[in-house]
Amino acid sequence: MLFSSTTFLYFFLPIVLFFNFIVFKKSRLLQNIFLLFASLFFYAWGEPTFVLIMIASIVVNWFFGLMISKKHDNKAISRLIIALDVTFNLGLLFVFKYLTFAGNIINDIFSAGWSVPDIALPIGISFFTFQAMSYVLDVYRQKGEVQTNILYVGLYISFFPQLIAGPIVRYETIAHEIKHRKETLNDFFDGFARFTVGLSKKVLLANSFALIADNAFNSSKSGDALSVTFSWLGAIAYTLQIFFDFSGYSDMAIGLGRMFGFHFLENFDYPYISTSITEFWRRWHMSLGTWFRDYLYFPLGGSRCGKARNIFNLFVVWSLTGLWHGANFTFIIWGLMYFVLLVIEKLTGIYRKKGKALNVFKWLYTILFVILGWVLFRADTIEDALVYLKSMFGLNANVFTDGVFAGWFMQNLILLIVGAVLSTPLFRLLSQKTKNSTAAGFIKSGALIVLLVLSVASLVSSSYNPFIYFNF
Amino acid sequence: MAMKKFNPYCLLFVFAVVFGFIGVWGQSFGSFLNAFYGDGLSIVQFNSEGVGKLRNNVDKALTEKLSYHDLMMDVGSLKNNLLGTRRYEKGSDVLTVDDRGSLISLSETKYSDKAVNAVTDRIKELKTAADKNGAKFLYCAAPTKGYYNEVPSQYKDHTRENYENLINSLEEKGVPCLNLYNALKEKGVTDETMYFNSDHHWLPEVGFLANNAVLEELNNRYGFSYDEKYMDLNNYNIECFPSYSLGSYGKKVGQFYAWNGVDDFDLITPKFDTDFNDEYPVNTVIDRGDYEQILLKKDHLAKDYYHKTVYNTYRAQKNHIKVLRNNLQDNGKKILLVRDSFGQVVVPFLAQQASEIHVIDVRKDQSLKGEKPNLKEYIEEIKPDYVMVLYNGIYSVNSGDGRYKFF
Repeated sequence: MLFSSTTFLYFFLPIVLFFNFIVFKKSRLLQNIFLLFASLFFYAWGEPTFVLIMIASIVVNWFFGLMISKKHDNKAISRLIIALDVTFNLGLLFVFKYLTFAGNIINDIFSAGWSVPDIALPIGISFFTFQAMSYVLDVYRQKGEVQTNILYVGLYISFFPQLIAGPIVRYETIAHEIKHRKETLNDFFDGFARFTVGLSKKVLLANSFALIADNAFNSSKSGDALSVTFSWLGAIAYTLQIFFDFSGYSDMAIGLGRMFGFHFLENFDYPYISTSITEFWRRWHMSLGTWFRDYLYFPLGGSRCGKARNIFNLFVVWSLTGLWHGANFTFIIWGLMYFVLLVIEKLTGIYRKKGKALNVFKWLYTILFVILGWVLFRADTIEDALVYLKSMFGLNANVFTDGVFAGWFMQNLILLIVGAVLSTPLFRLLSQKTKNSTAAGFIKSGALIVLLVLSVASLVSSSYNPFIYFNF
Repeated sequence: MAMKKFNPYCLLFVFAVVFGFIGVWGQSFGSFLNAFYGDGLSIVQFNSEGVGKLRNNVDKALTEKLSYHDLMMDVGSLKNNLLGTRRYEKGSDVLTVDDRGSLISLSETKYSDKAVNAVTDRIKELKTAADKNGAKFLYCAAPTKGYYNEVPSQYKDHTRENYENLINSLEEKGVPCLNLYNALKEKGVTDETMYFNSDHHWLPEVGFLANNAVLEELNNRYGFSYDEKYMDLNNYNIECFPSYSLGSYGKKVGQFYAWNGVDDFDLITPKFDTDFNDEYPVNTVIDRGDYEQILLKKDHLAKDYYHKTVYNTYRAQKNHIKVLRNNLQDNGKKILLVRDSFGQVVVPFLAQQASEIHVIDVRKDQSLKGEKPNLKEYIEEIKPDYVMVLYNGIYSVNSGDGRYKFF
């Protein structure tokens, strides 16, 4: 089920709110059990058979969590349990996400002639397996109490706000809130406002940019010669699409969590204002970045080791970051691109240097590589990506500009300007400056009412509502 | 849980609750309950197919059946208009608004020679069946909207190319074909006077002229004689219903896609006497009456933009086969016409010129009852004098609506 659907808005969410806050108001246990089953229903609505995979993941990770807490004093056994848990979770991910990919590579390299199964990918598996691992790892690190009640573990792993598109909520973030959260009216209303912001970003902005991006990339893939300007427009449109889509989903997830008394960490912090790649990854999909940092980079030694080892650690992290996004060489190369850039920044120290003119230069090169990276990310194959990239630089004997670009650009000019402005923290600054103003509060509320109605109108009148997380 | 300070966002939530409640009140809630009554258990049975069906029905209940569905369509289309949106992707349709504010479906796929040949082979098979039974054959190719209208330059559209390739292929295979694009141009039909703005169909007046072109072609090829009285628009009343019709494309994107989004609708009725039998099967009279009673379906003539299709006023066909017997026409001519929706505004005028017309719609259509005929067998049975096909554009031979499945 998608948040940006009338089914969620008119059916699922009202019923869940009603039962959570009215019917089961007096019992935290019943609330949690209800939220678990609601979350399983949410997942089963889109994946009725794969919900069994999630249930299996919950049972296994609950078991490992119990074992870890019982055997905590025995380091060897604890490490064995961790190893088993990680193996199980990564094994699950490997079978459903990477087996076909790996099989095809082996066949290509060794002409093995294996029959490679084409396995469907359960939506959100990358998110919930990482969350499940986080539970066991945080229990081991004593960053959160073990849950003896399997239903609570289930709730943490499958809680519907962050289930299919993140953020990856660490167990330590909400361990206490599972049993001891305090729902307040302020949190509830602020959460709903945040949800509305996210819904508007996704429906009104991301879906519109998607039309431009899909047209550009599909035309390029089908062999049409794109002009330089149109290929840049398509790349920029995708850059905006993925930001508003992903951050919109995160806003909706964080908003919904807050309504139920959970406080998830932020996932995006205006990444496109970054003046270095280092800074970009501290602002983009922060929950994934910190997950890899805390559970992989630091245990490998992080930067507290020799340079060569540090570079190796970065290589491992960024290859896996790329691979996490999808079973395709495009994602691996995308991750490795960031590895190279981060190493360069680390070795030169450029990301620390300041200065007005330098900052402009740094912002330009950062946004340039981010956009080029998104071309790799969006393309279906390396070949498609190369063709597209060559179009962007006029290397396909393509014209500089044409009527196709002019038409798309003029029709979407207002949206592009809005997208560019909303990629900056301008509204956040305005909001902070006016946070004590009652009038400003009413204006914001009024504006969100308008956005809510426009979002619903868009959902009713349009069938173009792409879901871009099918690789995850 | 009391708030210490008034939170203005509570107004947003209260609005959302009221807004949601109003939306589902009534038909939406009923449809929603029906959906769960039908397939609700599929979820706990882990039945993917059942859940898929449930999902579709619930989606429908919570979009199309919302109490303010029409208002939301209007708001959505207004927003798109103000933002300058010209391209809409709705289901399998890609629509664009041209400079005159007319909605066009883009044909982004160029049909390969193989695909075109597959279609024309089927049509040729039908011609062969007609020949075997001594019937004269004619394929009437109605042009689709993209042929006339200027698509904005940034979009790909192969409508014209596909249409011309179809005509060429038919001619190469010796299938008699009438290029209605050329014929209507000769009759002075221009871009502006050809199609509805919000629909893919041609106007009733154009259907009238298309019928005249068909009759003239039949006369040129086969000596078909016709009565000119029925081909003169002055012998008909034309009643205009202003801003009455939001066509199929307009229903998908909302009436404010352009400031002139809604179309006027003309109802053409004869000034002369008419008397028809509606028979199904042939010689079994199910109804008898005049032009308006038998050839029109005036239930559709209502100003309900999103729930009525005014164009279907010209479509009084309940079954895949509709047999019209013209009790005032004794020329004995028997015509079998295989048509799509473009034929709806041709049949009422063609029916004046023959004693008996069998109007066949072979497409998959849940509103049509009865069995789809096998046209080889049907032609053998009724022995028509003329077999005609009137289809717009070209579709894939395995098109989902089954239009080329003649046998």
